[in-house]
Amino acid sequence: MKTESYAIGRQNPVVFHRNLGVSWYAGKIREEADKIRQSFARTISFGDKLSQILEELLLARHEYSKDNWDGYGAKRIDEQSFENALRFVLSLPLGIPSPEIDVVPNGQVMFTWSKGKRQLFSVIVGSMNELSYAGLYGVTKRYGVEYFTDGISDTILDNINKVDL
Amino acid sequence: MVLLNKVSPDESLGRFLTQSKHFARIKNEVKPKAFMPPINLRLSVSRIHGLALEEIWDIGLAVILDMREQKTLYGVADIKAKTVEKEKLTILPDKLPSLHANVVGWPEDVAEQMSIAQELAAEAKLILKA
Repeated sequence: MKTESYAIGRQNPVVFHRNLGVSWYAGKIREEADKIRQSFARTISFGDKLSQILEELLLARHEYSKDNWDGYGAKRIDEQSFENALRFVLSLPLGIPSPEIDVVPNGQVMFTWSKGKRQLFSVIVGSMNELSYAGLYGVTKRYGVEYFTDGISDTILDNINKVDL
Repeated sequence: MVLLNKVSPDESLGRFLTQSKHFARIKNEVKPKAFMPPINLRLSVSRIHGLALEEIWDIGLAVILDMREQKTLYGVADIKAKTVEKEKLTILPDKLPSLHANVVGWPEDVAEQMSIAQELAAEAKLILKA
């Protein structure tokens, strides 16, 4: 249980586990969770940063709304990847610096934390909740895939922190 | 250096930068996105070894004219062939006198592609068009 409390403590406090319930109660819980999340997002300290990230995400959605944006057949932004990216942003722990947001040729949203050519980490958010990540720290490389279900995994969070922003 | 049909390890290859998100002007860096392969996994580059900048821009302008979308030529990422080959990628040059080549042999896994793109970007030299 020690591991679980540690993991939860590293997550954003307004992120609730995905509510897949279909009952009336499940619907009410979902509504309340949305209200809390929205009011938190409006607070001055957290809201400004979050609004900036969300604004960038929306800009990316507009910028990459058509196929072939790279001149080599790139796919337009994937709507499911966009939705998962929104959820990913809302799940980031407080205090994590804002990432750069971009879209890769397969249409998936990419977040990057960078402090230089050899001090960076990127996460590409897939449509099936997969988080494909790659980091370069000096000459050390890390890459792999994690799944985004009940929060962001420690592997992803540790790699973001490794960038030493 | 006289260009041969086969690309030499010390040859410079140019990846033309057609998006503002391909580079960081202030940091003078090429971003990994510039080296992310397109969906057909054939990354287009040009053999620019020994060419004057004006000649490089002429080739770059011809490259973007061939694209189906209207693009801006911001600059070029200059990288040595041996750096590309070190990543277990293959450079397939078009027949001379064409200076075009494709970098192939990319893994299917997007995380691995990004890891390679990060390494190539870290080794590339940014040359911006004035």
